[in-house]
Amino acid sequence: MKITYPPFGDARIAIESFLRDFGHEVIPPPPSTNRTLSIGVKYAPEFACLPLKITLGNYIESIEKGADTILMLGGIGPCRFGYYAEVQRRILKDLGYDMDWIVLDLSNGWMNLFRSIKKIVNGNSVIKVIKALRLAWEKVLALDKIEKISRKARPFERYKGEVDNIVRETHKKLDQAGSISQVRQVLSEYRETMDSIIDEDSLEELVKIGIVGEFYVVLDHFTNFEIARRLGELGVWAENAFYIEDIVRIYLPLFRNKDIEERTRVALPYIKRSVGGEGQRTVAHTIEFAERGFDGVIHLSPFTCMPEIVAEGILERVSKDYDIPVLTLSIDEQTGLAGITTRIEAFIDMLKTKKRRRMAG
Amino acid sequence: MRIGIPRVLLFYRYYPMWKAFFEALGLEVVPSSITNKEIVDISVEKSVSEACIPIKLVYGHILDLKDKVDFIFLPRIVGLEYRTYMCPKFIGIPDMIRNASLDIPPIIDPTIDKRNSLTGFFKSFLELGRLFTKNSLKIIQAYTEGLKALKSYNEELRRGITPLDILDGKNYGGEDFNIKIGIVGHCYEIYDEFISGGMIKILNRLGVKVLSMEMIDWRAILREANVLPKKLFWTFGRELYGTARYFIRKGLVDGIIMVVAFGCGPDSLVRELIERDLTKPINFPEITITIDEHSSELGLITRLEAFVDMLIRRKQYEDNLSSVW
Ligand code: SF4
Ligand code: SF4
Repeated sequence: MKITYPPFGDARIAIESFLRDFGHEVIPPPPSTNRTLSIGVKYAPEFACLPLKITLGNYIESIEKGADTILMLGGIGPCRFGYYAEVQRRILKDLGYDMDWIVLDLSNGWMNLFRSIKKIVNGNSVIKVIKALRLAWEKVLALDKIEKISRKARPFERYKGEVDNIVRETHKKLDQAGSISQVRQVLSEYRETMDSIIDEDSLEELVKIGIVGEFYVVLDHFTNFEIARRLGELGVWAENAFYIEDIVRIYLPLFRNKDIEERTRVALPYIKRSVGGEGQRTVAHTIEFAERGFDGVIHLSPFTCMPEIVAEGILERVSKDYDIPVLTLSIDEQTGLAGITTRIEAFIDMLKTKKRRRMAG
Repeated sequence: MRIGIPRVLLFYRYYPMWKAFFEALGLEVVPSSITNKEIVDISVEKSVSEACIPIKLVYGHILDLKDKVDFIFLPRIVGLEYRTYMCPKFIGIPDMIRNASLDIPPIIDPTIDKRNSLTGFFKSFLELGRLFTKNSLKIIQAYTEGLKALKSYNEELRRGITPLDILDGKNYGGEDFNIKIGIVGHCYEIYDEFISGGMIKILNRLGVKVLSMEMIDWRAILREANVLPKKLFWTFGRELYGTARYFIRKGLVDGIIMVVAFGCGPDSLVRELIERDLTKPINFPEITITIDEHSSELGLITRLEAFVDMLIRRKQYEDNLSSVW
């Protein structure tokens, strides 16, 4: 069994870590490129949402590297995510790739879920499983911290690409880390290096932007045109509304905690119940950023994403009520980097002027 | 008191029920105008540009009712069967409208969620009725009236009469033509003639008998859809898939027309399933018509004509074959 999985952002490092620890032969998906995207676009339904297309491309590239098994999540709507595996399975089959799918999906009954988990666990002892999961979780937490700190550091980097280089090196070390203490070691070294770059006294002067939206496009750097890096280079401190940890907590019931629901509560006056995906959370997170005094919010939405269209319809009002500028960027394979950059730059300019005026008066 | 009901979304499925219910409670029911250019233009102006045309039209129809009524009825329809959902936009549309700065009468948006209860619509309607009367008995009576109206409406639909016939007092589906086409699409696309470009009438003029989902027993459709290893979790998705499979398996139609709104989320996947599972493997004639606010009637006519021509030729060919044998 040569197993692969849909990557999103840096989560790939943690997923690979526990699959490897379970003794699987892992075929990590090659990093997404324009080739990945164009393969996905070629075979996916035209109006499918972007994550379906890109992950389809990822699978095909992993298959080219020898993968024969795909690990994926399933579930019950209302948005499209729960049906991804079904559609992608058919497409791959029609292309002649008869893959073994391990879909973690409670909606097919406990027995099916149990069978899938058994395949992943691969005959390992309970102790080993717990150990592997704990290590992977520690890596998730570390990945999130690395990302958060890098956002703060980028506006102060001494040469272009400095922070990226450090992050890349740290990710490599993290990938190799075999124990929790090693993970912590890697993280504290990283912290030290970054502390020497960040100028704490000037942090408050930076324009601060919150990024909200659909999880895949918010967390996957390739899909969102590396928006965090671009904003950093423009001297902006961009924080996400959520990182990998939050997404694991939201989508894996086992890890769920109360905070997730608590956080969406502020959205209730605007959107009374969940509309699937991140729709309701997008509204909540925008309000949260406004209350935390951020200068603006960038809303990332895959083209045709239903929950985010609902959110977009509501954000205009939120933006007025809370006096926080919101820029919605809808992203699909036709979105060009140039167009995105222009819009982001104009948005930042506007925020900078606004901030200067406020600080002056 | 007047309550307005916009002619959008599930209007085409439930209007008779809603009307009977509200009238039994002593309200005057006012439906919005049939979709016209003005409604379309204002819809496009006021809504999120990326939304599908059926959702955009909600804005225009609500504004059409604005000065005519005291309340507007726009239910939040979450799910109609066990473990299924409506499209996220159905769940969010009351919130989208409320936050859209439209300056409109109060929206009444009861949540209709039949997913986990045996009581069906009843609970939602009881709560809804409470807004207008304290008398539970009266609400129950009104609800019964509603159900009755819905039942006879559905019976008419089953007999092959389309919602259009009922609205126009004509018969578009009934006559027996040589070529039969099954239309697979949402009721609010097919029967809103602005959205569908009058597809049914065009097909009729071309000598085609049109069959649609409303003419089949709902349970039979769902049975067809339940063959999927992973059941579709959208009610509409199941209906579309089930209808297509029913049409094809029972040999009821010569071809299928799929009607899809530009940017429709669920249909992007459901359509793929229908093609890959049902039509492509047996080369069953099928076209997809994508619709949005820019669709032109002329383009539509051309495509429909070409499709019908193809079906006629195919049929002649098959007839010839069978006469040779
Ligand atoms: S949240 Fe949006 S992009 Fe993600 S699967 Fe659902 S519809 Fe697609
Ligand atoms: S099902 Fe499709 S057409 Fe209907 S509201 Fe949802 S996205 Fe629009």
